[in-house]
Amino acid sequence: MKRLIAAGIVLFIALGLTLFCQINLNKISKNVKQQLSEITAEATAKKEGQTAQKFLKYWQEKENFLSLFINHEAVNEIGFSAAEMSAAEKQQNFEQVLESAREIEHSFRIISEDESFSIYSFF
Amino acid sequence: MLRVLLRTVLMYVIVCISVRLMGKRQIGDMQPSELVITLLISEIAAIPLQDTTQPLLVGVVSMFMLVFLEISASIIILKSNFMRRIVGGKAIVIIKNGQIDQKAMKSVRMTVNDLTEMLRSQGFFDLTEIDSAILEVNGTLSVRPKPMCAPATGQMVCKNIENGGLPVVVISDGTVIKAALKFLNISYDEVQKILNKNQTKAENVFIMTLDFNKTPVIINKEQNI
Repeated sequence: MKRLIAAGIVLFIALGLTLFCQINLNKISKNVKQQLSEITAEATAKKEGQTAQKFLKYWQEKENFLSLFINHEAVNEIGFSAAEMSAAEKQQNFEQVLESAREIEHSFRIISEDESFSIYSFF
Repeated sequence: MLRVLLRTVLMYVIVCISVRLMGKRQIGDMQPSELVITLLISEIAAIPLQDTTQPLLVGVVSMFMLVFLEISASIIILKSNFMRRIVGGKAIVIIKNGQIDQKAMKSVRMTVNDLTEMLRSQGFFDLTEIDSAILEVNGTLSVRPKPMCAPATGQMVCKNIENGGLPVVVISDGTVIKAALKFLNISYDEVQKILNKNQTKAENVFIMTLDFNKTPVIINKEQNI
């Protein structure tokens, strides 16, 4: 019985952590997508704004938390692209902004695919 | 570097807890499923230590899942004979009534050298001494010698051998172990009396054991060590 309780606790922790990571990743993913679409719309219209800088701030807030359950290299890559995008926005280099936004979107899609359950990611 | 150090400490603690949760069988003779889990846990624990870009949480979650699977499997195996057979396999009789079962040996891919080596490790150098031998699920060979070759027991020689019970270490390297006194239901004064009778002191004793008949075995410390 003692072992059964231990097994239950261990399963609860494992499932709890998995669920916690998944929920938070989905939430962050949704925010990132929304912010990236705003950035892309602004850059396409060649409109001045601070959306990329806002995104950089947001990312800097979240990257330590994401490092808990996502490959640190992938997190660092997105951080680098976000910094590049913010700098390009300041210089009004809209092509670079779009390029960085595409890179971030691609990296995030890979992370989301790795973390979400599908028959392809499973194998 | 500090990150690697802290990760190693944390992983060490988690692996220790995991092995402890899985029970004592894990560190003794292992069943096939237990061996698989142990190999997997050691591999999973090593990944976040070698590759610091991997989150520690990934290793921890998979290790906890393995612990859960191992405990669940052991409970199912305990309850079901069928599952015990499926997961652990079954013991195979290699020698029956003094005759080697060559077919059984072939089925477990055991060579003659393997058999003689295992028998020698059990103290049997002559095949004719053996009545039966069983290859257990954990890979060890249990051997029953022929009655004529078996070591004589007290029952065989018709002697009433006194049973003093389990000998317990009462003094270890000059220190009296209180838990042992409690286990044997004996007082410190009684130990002192035994020591006096053997003309020694507790601090001079390297090891002293007592059984329930209070029969002492005393080894004094060597001088100049």
